[in-house]
Amino acid sequence: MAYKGNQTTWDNFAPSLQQKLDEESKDINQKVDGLKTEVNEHLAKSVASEDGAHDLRYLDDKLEINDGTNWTKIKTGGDLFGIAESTDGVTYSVVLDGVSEYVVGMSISIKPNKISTVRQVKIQVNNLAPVPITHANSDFPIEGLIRANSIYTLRFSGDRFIIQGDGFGLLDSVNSATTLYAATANAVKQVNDKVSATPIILTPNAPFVVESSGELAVGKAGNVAVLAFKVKTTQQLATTSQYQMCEILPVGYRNLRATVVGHGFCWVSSVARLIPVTIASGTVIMQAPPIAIPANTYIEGNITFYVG
Amino acid sequence: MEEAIDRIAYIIDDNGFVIDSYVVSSATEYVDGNIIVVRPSIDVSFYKRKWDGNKWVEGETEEEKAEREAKQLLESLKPSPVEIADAELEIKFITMLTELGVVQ
Repeated sequence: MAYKGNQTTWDNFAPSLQQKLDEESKDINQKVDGLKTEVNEHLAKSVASEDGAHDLRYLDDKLEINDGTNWTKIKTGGDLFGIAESTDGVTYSVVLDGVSEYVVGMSISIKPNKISTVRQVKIQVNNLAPVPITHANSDFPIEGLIRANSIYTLRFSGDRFIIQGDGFGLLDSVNSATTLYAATANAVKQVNDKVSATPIILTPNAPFVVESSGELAVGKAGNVAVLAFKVKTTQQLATTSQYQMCEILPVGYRNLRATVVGHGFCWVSSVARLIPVTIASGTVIMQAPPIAIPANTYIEGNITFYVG
Repeated sequence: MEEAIDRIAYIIDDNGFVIDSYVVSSATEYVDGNIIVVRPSIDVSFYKRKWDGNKWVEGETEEEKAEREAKQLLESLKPSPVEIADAELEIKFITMLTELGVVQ
């Protein structure tokens, strides 16, 4: 009899009902026995060799797993931190528990032991292939941006690790091509020093030449600049054309807010002639002369203007 | 040791043409990627200066040169405003002399 209930009750059942109950109870008992076996086998396995967990607990702000004997803290992405070792400041190696592949979006934090010496630095996690470290726009960080003993958080994009947060560095010298970095106090001082600078020698464009170095130059005192010139024409200047006298003035020497006007002076057929010269956003233009200016004519003058 | 002086650093595009410039202090001339800190010779000037990888050269093409010279020729044939004003004054003077019967 598979029925586990009251014997008197059982005896009152009709034989056909007893037989049916016996069969169904047998099936149920077999299923229960199978589940018991499965649970025992499950408990006998190690958590390291089986999917799923045996025992989990959240204690003292830690999520832990029990392998049957000990409780171990579960590693998560936020804990992927390690010392990034490098001997040359080019390729850094870091050992991170549990990382067997690079996964898009994964976040790691590193503490380099050495300053970077090149732009194209790489990071190697465990024994995986080294991959580049870049800014979000794919630019490589300048050499020296990765500082020793600082901490950097990186995220994997699929083919490289992107510097997160404080990724942009400071430079002691900046110029108009510097777009990713900020100027240090040292860089600002250099700019201030430039406010009053020795004249910068400019190079004339055709159809002008100079005979001596310095005959076309721009200097500054405070925020006032002076463009002085003595140029010679290499061809006749037409009355209907204008001519760019030189390349655009360098950064820091340009009139940024308006066009300034001066004049050049020359002699043509023993008559003194004035030719308007304008500077607009640093571009120096000799305007159309009142009469044709022959080749090999000297034109000289100066223009004073604000640069800021 | 040479003393650093202010020099112009030219920023060139991929074709070698100057697109911007700024001032640097350096004891020597140098080339660093697309930054050229080399002053062109003072006895020559270019219509379209170009860095060929080693030196500054004329970047104006033959077609651009022909177009520029044709334009210069055309412009040289046009009278200037001063010449036009002189001619107008001369015409007025002759007209006045004609009306006075000084000339016929």
